[in-house]
Amino acid sequence: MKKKKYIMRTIKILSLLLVLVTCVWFLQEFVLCHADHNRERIKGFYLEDKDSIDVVIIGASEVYSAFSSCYAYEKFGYTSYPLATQSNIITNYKTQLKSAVKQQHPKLIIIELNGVLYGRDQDLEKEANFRNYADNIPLDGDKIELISSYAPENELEYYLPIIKYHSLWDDFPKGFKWNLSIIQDRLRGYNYLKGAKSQTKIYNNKEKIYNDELKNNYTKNLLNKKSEQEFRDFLEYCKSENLNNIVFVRFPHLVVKSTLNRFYRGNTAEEIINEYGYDYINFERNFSDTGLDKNTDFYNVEHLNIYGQKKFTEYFGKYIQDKYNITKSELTPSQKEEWDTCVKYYDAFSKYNISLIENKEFKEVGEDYKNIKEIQKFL
Amino acid sequence: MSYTSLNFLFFVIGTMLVYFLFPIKKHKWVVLLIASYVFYLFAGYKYVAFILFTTLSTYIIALWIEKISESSKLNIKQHKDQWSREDKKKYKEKIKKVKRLVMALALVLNFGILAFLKYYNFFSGSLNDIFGSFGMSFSMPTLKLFLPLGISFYTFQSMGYIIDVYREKTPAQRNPFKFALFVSFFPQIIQGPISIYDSLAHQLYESHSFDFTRFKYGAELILWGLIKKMVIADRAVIAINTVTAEYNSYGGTALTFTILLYALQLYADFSGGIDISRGVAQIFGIDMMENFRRPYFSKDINEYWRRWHISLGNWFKNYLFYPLAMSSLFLNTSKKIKSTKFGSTVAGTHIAKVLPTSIASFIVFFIVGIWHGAYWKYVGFGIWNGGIIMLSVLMKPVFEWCHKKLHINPKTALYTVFQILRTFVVVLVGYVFDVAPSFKQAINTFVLFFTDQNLSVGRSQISNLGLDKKEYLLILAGAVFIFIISVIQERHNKTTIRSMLDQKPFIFRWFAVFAGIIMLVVFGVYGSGFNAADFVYMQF
Repeated sequence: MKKKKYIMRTIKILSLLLVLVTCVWFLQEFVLCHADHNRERIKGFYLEDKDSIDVVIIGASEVYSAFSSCYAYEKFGYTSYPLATQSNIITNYKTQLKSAVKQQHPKLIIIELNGVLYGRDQDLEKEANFRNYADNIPLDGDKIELISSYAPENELEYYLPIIKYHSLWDDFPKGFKWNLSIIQDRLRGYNYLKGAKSQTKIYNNKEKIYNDELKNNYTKNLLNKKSEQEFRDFLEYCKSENLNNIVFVRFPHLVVKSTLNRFYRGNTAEEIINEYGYDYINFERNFSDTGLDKNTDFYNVEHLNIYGQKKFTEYFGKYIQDKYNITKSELTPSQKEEWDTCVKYYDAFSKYNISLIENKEFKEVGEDYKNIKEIQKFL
Repeated sequence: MSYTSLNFLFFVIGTMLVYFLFPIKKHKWVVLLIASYVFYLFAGYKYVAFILFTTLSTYIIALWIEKISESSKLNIKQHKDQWSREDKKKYKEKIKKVKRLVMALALVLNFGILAFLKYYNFFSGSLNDIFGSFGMSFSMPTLKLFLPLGISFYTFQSMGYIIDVYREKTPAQRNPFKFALFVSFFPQIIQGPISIYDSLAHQLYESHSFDFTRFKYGAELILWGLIKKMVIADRAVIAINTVTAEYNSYGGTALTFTILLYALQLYADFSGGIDISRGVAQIFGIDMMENFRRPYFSKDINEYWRRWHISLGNWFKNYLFYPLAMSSLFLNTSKKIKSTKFGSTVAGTHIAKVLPTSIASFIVFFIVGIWHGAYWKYVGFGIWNGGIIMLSVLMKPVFEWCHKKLHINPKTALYTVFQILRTFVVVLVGYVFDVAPSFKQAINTFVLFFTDQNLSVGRSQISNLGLDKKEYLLILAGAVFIFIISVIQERHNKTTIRSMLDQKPFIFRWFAVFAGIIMLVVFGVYGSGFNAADFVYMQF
């Protein structure tokens, strides 16, 4: 009798704990979290079928604003994914690379250099730059290693982000449009735009653009000490793992006075890349080859708008197809259907962007619930 | 290690496992002693010397006092036939003096340390000001002093024990380690309650087995305490700290609002902390005394102090108020008044009767004020509370006369509500001294209450105190919730909410617990964006 009582009591307590853990998990995952395009993109990467992505691009915001995976698939037939987050830092690159290899065994891995080129320690150490990626990846050995490498003061908050974000109830329903979209992605099994994002603006500041003058400029500025160390560690890792399908790229930016030093740091990074024997393409230097127009194709000096995104995707997509022999992806019928849907959505996304630009309506267009509703009107 | 931290949760769980699985039942208390010292070491190793000194000095002096008592009794017994009644009386008087001297040694040593650490800089600063105002160049140095964790609480508790041993109310503890546990028991070290040896010690030393009902009740009390502390108090303190940081820039309306908010914050913080302490102790099978009984429902200020920080009130009542009120000085004063012409009048008889107690009350509250901190504003706090109590006792016949003349029935519900509100306002006035950064600013606040009430300015200032509308609404909801719970508790004085909850169906009970936890997780103020506010009474 007593035994039965104890068993019942244990079952009750365990049930309460289970319900409690489930609720807290739900709150952490879908309600009290920092939900934005970064989360949607990174979560989307882990929704992709294993070994179905042929090209993975690691980097920061210039990646998903300059290159569209859906458009590249439409034009060249191979699958790709931007494993990129806003202001991504070199600290994250190794884990991103590991995830890319583990999940997809891609034919080509492109590393955009922005995360290496920050000049100040504070940019490298900025919590948000780290969390944009770290908060959104599944908990495994790599995540634990990543968090300890960042060595945060409140480590527990990185494993249980609800400690950090629980006060967001106050912001509700601000992040809800993203959470809803993330839930829909999860139910659907993929995201429509593969993380692409843009702003409906044309950059028209009159400041001096230096790109054409820099074609043969190899002036070097020192990399940030910490960045260089982490970058060398990263390259060592690539070598030690015999990862030869990696190419380093500097995506197109308009180099202005305030970003000249960064360009010079890029030259130093190029030298280091050469030391390790990897390819490097600098589209700040070879800007004119891409066919981009600095008067129409940027929404600011760092990012391409929808016109630039399509132009650069066509140019760079073809470039890697030819140079690295990236052929059409072999997909199952359901995967093919998924990508065809994505192509349609990207087309609608593009039309929506253009209509807003033409109407001079400034907006950030990503894959959140509200924007998807608008994009669907152009399908 | 804060009571609201995850570390403390793990610490309690770990201690619980070791305690309940400890194989030697007789020595289970050793687990609590070790846990208490581990907890104390977390606060800083340098503090341990102070608690050890208090423990050892109190332990030795209590034994000494007891030895004097025992040997004197034996001596009297041995000289039963030789000594006259007069001799015995003289001998007893002499022994009493010696015992009192020994007890005084303990009091001076321990209260001396407390007073030095807490008040040295206050007195040196004040003296320097006085000397300075007379143009004298003498200056006492300011020292960098720190207050060891819980020093007030364990000093008061230990000194209560010494006085009880002196009064032969309790035998001295012979085991120094057992006594060390009484002084350092970790759930009460931060902010009390200040327990009496007789009611706590035997519980600490007994062996307790795991009891699910106790565990459940204890855990529920901890949860309730955490909600009060983390959802309400730690949120409200953000606005209060914003005001105190730039006190002079706020008008009367914002300050009125801040004082009201402080009343809620202080209650939620302190009673929340005590609930956590009592809940943890309950899990270990130890019942600690209640420290709050809905103080804001008090009908007069005397009652308020019987419901607020009950253990401190009891301490002062037992060890200061009664000795003062019953002292020959006070009793003689009463007699002297009675013997005068004025003493034969109605007013004189009343004053002769209540003056000793009212002066004793005033002195007690003056000391309670200073106990809160070494600042003139706390002197003001003590004088205000003591003064009001003194006046209320002395003026009682006048109030009764007024009731009669105005045909007021003090037993009606409406009048009760009036009394509660009146007491609350009196308490709020006292809180002004607490919130204001200085005595001068406290006085200025009273002026602003009457001269600077401006709703639109107040509203704009209140909206810039670091909390938004939703958070104020949450605080309001919390206050309403506490009020409802308090009304239920007040109506069912003998039963706890937890035992009432226990009568409800399983689903209801677990939903309540579940909702409480989720509320804490979602609405609690914690995490790296926020520095956990220390419990307010920890600083005292």
